[in-house]
Amino acid sequence: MNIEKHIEEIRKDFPILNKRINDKKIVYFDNAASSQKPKQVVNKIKEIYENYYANVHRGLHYFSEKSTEEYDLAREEIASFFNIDKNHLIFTNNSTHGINLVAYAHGLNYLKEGDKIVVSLMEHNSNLLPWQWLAKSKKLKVEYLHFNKEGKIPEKEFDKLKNAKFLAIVHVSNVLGTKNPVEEMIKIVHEEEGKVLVDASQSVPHIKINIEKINPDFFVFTGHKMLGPTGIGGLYIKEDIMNPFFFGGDMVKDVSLGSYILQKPPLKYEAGTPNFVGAIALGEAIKYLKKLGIENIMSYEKKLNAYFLEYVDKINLNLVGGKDRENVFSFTVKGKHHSDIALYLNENNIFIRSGMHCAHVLHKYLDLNGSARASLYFYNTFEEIDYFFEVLRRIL
Amino acid sequence: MKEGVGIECGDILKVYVIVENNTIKEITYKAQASQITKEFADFFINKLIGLNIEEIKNFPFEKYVKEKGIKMPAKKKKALLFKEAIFDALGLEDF
Repeated sequence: MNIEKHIEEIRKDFPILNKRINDKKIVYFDNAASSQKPKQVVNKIKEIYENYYANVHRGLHYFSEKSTEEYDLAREEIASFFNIDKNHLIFTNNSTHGINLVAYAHGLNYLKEGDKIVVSLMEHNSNLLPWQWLAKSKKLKVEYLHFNKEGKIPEKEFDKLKNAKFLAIVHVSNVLGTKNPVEEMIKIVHEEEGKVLVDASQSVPHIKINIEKINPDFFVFTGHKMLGPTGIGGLYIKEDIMNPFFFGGDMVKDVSLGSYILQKPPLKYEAGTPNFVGAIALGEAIKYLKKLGIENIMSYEKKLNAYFLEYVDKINLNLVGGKDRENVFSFTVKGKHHSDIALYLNENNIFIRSGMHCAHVLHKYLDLNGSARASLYFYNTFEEIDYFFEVLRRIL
Repeated sequence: MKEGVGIECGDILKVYVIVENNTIKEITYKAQASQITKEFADFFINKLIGLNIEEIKNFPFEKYVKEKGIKMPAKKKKALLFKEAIFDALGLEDF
């Protein structure tokens, strides 16, 4: 589908985008924080609760059977989107949950004192704090990949990957918009049998992903940034190199006093009643993305990106990072606090984000106390970008 | 002089407090913060000079923010950053 040609039709699937506040249109440019949901996803949630809601897996009745069937189909739908086997996809609450699960379930059991782990300075706190905690707990050595003014990790930094037992790296930065060359980095770490976790929270909503081709050991994403509801995400594991961290219902085949027999993955890592409504709704979101075509999304977003950057050049806007970036535009304005920029834009119904974006280390490395951030998705328009800069110019 | 800091995701407010005989004599601040944080810092400073520590502890910061019509949760946090900073300076608990 040609998104530019059908943009008005697509936007009708997102009634919230056509909402008016104080009789004025709204512009939603806070997509890196969370995306809006099409009515297909909202309707799916309603359909479940009104027609066949019941706990999954063990109920011998129609509702449970139907819920289980939908839940299993959702896992297949999501797995196929990433070109992976469904049994390698563990449902989580979000990326943070997935990363912490790996830190506890893999890191605590497979890493040992003195091992080197590597993270970058552009990580979201969710892909930094678990490793800082693990390093302290297990007495690991931590090395940090630095980035340059263009927001890129220079190749010379890759030397730090040698002998690393673990690399935790963001695919696309939620501040810089940088897309890291994760395939290349993974190859280096794998040469000496290290493991790699990729935080793909900001990439999977926008970029065609073939996880098997990227070849990470762990790969996390969250549903709410890709049209799905909050509270559902995924963790891909290439091999079963974790010990369960959460214990409870549904993750065991049998239990005796003093012993138990675990299920196979993914169930052994999904203790307790899962968020199956969220998973089914995420499956619906994936169907929607497939219908539009991720290549078509990429093509349209590339045009939005170029259009936005034209304005950046025209008004000499101070971007955090370089211009080779995905559609995340963090910026600063001399003499204006980032929160005041966001509040002013809000007065004009333009919704962006300000602050540290949960990337305190990144901002401190750049000697910034925060930034304002506009982030786009495929349902945004060129006209919205025009309006954004028309308003922004008033305070420059 | 006592120092305290309030931090909220990119807003930083440092306060400097002179206390004599358990009474607030002077408060100054340095801010890398939004306008609303600075406006409320100025507002609260005028109210707090001359109060003793116990009165500061029971001072209705939230009530004033509400009376000023601040409803947005993120704005409230920024408006109340001064409270965090002065509590920090005076070693008061707010939990």
